[in-house]
Amino acid sequence: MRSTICILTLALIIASPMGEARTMPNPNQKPAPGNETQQTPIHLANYSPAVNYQLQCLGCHLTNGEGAPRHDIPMMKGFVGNFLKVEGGREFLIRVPGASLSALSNQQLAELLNWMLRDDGIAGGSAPKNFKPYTEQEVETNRGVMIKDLIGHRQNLIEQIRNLNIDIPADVIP
Amino acid sequence: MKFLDRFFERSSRQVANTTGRRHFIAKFGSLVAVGVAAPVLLPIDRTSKALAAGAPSAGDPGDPTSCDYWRYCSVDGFLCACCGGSATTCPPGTEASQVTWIGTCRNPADGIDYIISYNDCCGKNSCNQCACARNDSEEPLYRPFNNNDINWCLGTKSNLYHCTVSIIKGVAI
Repeated sequence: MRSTICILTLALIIASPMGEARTMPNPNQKPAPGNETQQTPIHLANYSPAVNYQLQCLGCHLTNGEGAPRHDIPMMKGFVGNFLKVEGGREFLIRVPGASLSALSNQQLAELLNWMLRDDGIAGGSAPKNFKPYTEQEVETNRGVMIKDLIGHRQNLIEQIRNLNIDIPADVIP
Repeated sequence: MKFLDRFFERSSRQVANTTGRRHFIAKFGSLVAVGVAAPVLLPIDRTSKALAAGAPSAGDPGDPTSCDYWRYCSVDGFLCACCGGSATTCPPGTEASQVTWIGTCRNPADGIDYIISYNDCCGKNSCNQCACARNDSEEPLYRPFNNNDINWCLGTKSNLYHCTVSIIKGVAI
């Protein structure tokens, strides 16, 4: 009797993680109909900056850059342009992990930043009036420079912005 | 036996005396009317419905409860269409994660690449129906914003994963 219970318990312990797993990859599964050919990598796909934003940023920063401050994703809407007003802020927008580690080419990242910083874009007029657009060269120069203390670095930039008497909405500091 | 006879006779006469058939129809009618109106009036969370975008213009071939449906080209998880929801809506009692990952799938009807948002529905235990593991536009875990092994319920109140919806955000051009 006792050995039966032992075996049963052991079997249940071994089987239970299987039930927990979301899905097991099926090696025999073919691509969905119409999707048999390998997808074009995003840096070769020639999508518009708006589509690239959807594919690489929107999942977390949401449609208009609202972000999800409750989950450490800062709001960019109506604020992100202020980074250009302080020292190191212009480079920060290239070096921040979401941008520098994205699948976009340097040219595409420059275009996406310029698109985002437009007055009718996510920046919503927060960028300086004399804003000089990003270039492919500039992205290439700065993209590989790692930010070692990401949170401290960002906080420092926010403090500099605050010192310019610019209002810092709570959602910008998640 | 006599007792039973008397009991039923009395109780049925009592009912016949105190109520009318019209009274019953009137009551029943109002009950039906309230029943129909209730879903509209009750405070139900409709955010999941608001997530649903339009269908592709040139046809939408396939069965939304099958992993072979074209929109599911990068889905990794349980299909909400098999869990009491639909391809674009979360089942009742779950919350749609706003934070998510986004990929593209080609619609075989028009050969166009659509932008698909894979939102997880959260707050109930795993649905365990229609498990799919497609990775046609997925990237490795070190590119988290293009990865489907992540529990995207990190964007909701509860981290319990229930199922995944596939919402068309637009055309990739």
